[in-house]
Amino acid sequence: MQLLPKTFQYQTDLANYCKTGDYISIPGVNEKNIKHYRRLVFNNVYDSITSAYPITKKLFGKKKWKKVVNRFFSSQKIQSSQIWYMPKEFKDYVISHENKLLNKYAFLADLLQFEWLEIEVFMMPDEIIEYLTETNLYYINPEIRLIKTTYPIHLKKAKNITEEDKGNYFISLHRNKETGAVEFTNLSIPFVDVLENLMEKPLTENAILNILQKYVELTTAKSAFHQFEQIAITNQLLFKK
Amino acid sequence: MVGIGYRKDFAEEFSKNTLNPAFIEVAPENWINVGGYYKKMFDKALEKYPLFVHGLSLSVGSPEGIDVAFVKQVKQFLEETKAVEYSEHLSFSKCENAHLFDLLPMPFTEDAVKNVSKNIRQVQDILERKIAIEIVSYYSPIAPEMSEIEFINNIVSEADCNLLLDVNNVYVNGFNHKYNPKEFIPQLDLSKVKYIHMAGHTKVASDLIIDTHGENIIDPVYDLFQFTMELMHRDIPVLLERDFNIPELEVLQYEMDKLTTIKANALKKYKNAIIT
Repeated sequence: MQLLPKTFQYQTDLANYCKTGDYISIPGVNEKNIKHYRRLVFNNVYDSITSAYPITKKLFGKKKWKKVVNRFFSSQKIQSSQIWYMPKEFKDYVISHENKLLNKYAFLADLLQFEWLEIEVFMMPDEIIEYLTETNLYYINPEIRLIKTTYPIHLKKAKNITEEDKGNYFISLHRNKETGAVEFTNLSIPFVDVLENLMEKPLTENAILNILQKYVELTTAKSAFHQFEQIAITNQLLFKK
Repeated sequence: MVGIGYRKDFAEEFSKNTLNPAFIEVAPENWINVGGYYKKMFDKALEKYPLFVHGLSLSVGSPEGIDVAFVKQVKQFLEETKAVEYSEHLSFSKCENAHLFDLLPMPFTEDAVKNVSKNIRQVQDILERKIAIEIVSYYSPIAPEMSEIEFINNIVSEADCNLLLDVNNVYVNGFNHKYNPKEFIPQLDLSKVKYIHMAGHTKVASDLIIDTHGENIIDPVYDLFQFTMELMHRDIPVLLERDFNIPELEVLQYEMDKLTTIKANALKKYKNAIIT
């Protein structure tokens, strides 16, 4: 026996009310109490999205933020069964639908992407580094994401970013295996190259210096790498074994 | 045995052995494909405690049926964690292929009984185990054509599933819909009850209670729990749920101890009655 059209309709009407706040009368419903479902459902979604994008919320202000969350939730069919993952759909929605906001805040897509990746890296499944028998190799932390942005959303407060800041910025976000904290590193193009190569396989210092020498002289490469290595080993972006 | 809903909010405190539950419960949705700091803590807790798994997004009441890929992920999670029990809610949280992340009430109708039962049977087939289905709290009926008790009993029978009896939910529903919970509970098929939930709630109006899991358990709910346990005539795992407004863990331990005592006394009373 299939669900009768009227039962299907009642369930759909209730679900749509929770999504949009537009109530269509359903037989037997306590209209005073039913509003709590809209409130509870929206609050769940709102809280999850807000905790994912605190900087974007602050940039928009409470009123505008609530409106854009409402536009997202009322118009989109959320696919994720995991509420912590749902804010990714919010980010994708804003980037593909909210042109007015994207025009007003040229760095918005970058900012949302950066805030989302912080969550994604914090939550991503654990990955084990398989060390080779060969020693003195550098390994990249596999719990990592690399992004390129057009605005320095990781270096400046959002409200202070202007068109003059436009450029190419490279950022890695990785998870510290001991603390679980997500740390970001501002990268130059040569070090993006190094990290991308390390994602393929572990490298010796000489191999890394060879990559850097595509961009600078050996002496500069050595000095830059040793500076980078010190920080990268400390914050577990790289491991040496 | 009395367990506790394991939450990230108190995971650090919990790792210091500040609570002494018999088991822990989590929602698979919060842990599937998740790693990092909290997962490590969860893994440590799993070394020490049996796990009960209580889902949120299965949506057995969905008009469009269940998400088979998701059920397979749950199955893997149950296997990996050696879960003792998997339970879900008698509600829908997904409609027209859109997740809503809350438990919406089902229309109490014959065709909904068939639809939900079909969905539960399909889940049980994939999981190769029976699931326990929870009687949810609700704040309004939706186009009812039968009573709540008929709706629940018909589903438990047709789906051949187990029952998760949330005593607080029955109290909340009795208050909100003006029936006596002590008349409602004996009408359930108590032989199917495999798991019990206990929690606090919030009274938001003179005629409405919301099931928040954000307050301490109140005495009338303890009283209903005692009444329930005296009907059960057997030991059943009981979970203390606390999702918001988390107090000092001593308060949670006090509540678990109280539940343990009430349950033990109810069983003792039953055993004494048999002997005499």
